[in-house]
Amino acid sequence: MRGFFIIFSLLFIAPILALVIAAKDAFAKIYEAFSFMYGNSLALHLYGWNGTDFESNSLYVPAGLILYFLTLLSVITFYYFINSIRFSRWYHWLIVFFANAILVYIITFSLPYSDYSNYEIADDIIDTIFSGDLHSWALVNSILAILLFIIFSFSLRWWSSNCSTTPIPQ
Amino acid sequence: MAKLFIFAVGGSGSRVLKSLVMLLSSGVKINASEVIPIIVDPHQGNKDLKRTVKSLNNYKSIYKQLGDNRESFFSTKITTLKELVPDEDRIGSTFSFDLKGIQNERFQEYIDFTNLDPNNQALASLLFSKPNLRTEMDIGFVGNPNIGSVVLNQFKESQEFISFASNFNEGDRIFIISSIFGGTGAAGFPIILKNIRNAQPDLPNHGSLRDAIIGGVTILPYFGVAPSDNNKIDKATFISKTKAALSYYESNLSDTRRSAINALYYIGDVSTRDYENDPGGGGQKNDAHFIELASAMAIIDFMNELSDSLIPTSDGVATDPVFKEFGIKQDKDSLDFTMLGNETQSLIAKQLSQYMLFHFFVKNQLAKEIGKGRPFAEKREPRIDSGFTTAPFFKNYIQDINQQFEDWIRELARNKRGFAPFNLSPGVLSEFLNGIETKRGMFGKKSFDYKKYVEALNSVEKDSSSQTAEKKFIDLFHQATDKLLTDYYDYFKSL
Repeated sequence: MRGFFIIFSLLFIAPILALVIAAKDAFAKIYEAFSFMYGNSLALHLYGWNGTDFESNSLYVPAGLILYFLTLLSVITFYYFINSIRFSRWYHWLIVFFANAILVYIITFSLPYSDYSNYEIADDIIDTIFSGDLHSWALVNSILAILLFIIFSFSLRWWSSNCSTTPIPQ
Repeated sequence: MAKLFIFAVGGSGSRVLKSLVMLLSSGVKINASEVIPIIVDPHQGNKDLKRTVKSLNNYKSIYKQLGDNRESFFSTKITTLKELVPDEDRIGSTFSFDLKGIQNERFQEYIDFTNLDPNNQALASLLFSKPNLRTEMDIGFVGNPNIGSVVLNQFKESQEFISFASNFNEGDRIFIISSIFGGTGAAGFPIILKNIRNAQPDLPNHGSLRDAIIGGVTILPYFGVAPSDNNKIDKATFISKTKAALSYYESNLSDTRRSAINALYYIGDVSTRDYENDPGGGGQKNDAHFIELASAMAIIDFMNELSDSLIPTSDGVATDPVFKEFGIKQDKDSLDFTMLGNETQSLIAKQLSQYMLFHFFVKNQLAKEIGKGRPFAEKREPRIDSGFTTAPFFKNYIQDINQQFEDWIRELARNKRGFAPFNLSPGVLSEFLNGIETKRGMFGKKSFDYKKYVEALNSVEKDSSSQTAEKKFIDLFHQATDKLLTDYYDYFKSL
């Protein structure tokens, strides 16, 4: 169990450290690798462009934190809170896997959506942002959630009494 | 720790020995480094003997794969006499003592009656009736201990007895199981006891033998036989034979001034059932009886509770013999664990319950769990997979002995007096114990099913450090069943 706490602590602290050291740039760097999917205009808004400078709050930070911790919570819930023989097969894992991806999609979609629907986007980019971009942005988060879910699963499952061989026995 | 040599004499001896095997299989501890049973029964076709030998062989095969120093099922070593003397070709490799000269022979041929001189013939005719002389001995002595006492005398000249003596070390113990109302047991017990106490100097370790700590259980009538015109066994003679034998024992074996036996256990019951009147030709297969289980517990009591200092021997005499009886708390026709004495419950209730749960899972659920990626089976090497379940350890020995255990429990339950601690077809698995309820939870009585059982197996898997798949398998189930009983029943905490 000590191993579990060590790895969990590292995973828990990692994003916080990233925030402290590099603030919004830490998350921006990761997300903007996928900006070709959701468009540069939305990328600017997410980074905090207010038409004059980048002093507005970046949505990358809350999106990144939600994505990261929600996925971590989903994995912990499956392996340690549910931790049931009745819910331990590979398809049960897939249920939580997809549920997490969908939840992340919905939440991260809603983050810029309120700005979009209330026209609280800088005038020089508002006409180049479309709802499809918001969906693409949410999809990027789902893809990242999927990747993180797999990483967290294989990092943390070993100490689960009933699900340590889910989804694949070692 | 000392070795324990057990002489199981006659049909009752075999059946008690089988009960002992079941207790040891379930993990009941006995204070002995190894147990060496020697079955003395002329009736080799006796189905009870065959069943006992089969269970002994299964146990031995299982133990061989598991090894020593475990707190688990099958933790006591059982050996044959042959394994103690592997170079001796003149003794059989089984657990039975091979009585010579009785196959296809009548008693009169055995004593060479026709070649006796007239005086000896007259004496023999006084001692033995015509039916006695005409008795065919390959089905036993059919309730005639006077025949048995002649035939069984060959035991002291036998290679088995010599081999036994050669391997008897100071500190080792002996226990003799016999019934008092039959033929073989009633004759065999005093003969074996006498031959050990009167060990002559030419016998190896004769000094250790003479001063050996010897216990015995003598089983009083606990079943009858149905009346039959053509048959040689009449239950009406059981009591008179018992009285005669007890009188002999009092004068010759257990006289407190010169007792040959250190501890004698008497066990019987007033509640009896008539078995089919089969003197042996049909195979003699009687249902297991609670008295046999109680007799097996006498062996455990002898080894665990009576230290050498309590029952010493000096110069071939047991100077402080102990005589014991067995009692139960409630006089009911069908018993469960709660009706037994507290000490009896402490000795066997948890262990038998654990084994019963083990059997249920192996029989009803294991095949469904294999290959499903369950942590208890597949997280760590060695794995419990289809390769394990098709290997002889599981497929032959474990499944076989488990079936024998179920048969034994079933027979105990349907006998009179019955012993029925288990419900063999519970609707909910946690209701498998008769007379014992589960703990109360927030929403009523707690219960468990096979899913919870698997979770228990998974939870103890983390603590499992066994090296072979066989050891892992047995240890896992021992620990998981212990966890289930502790978590779901207050009853076992109080034992």
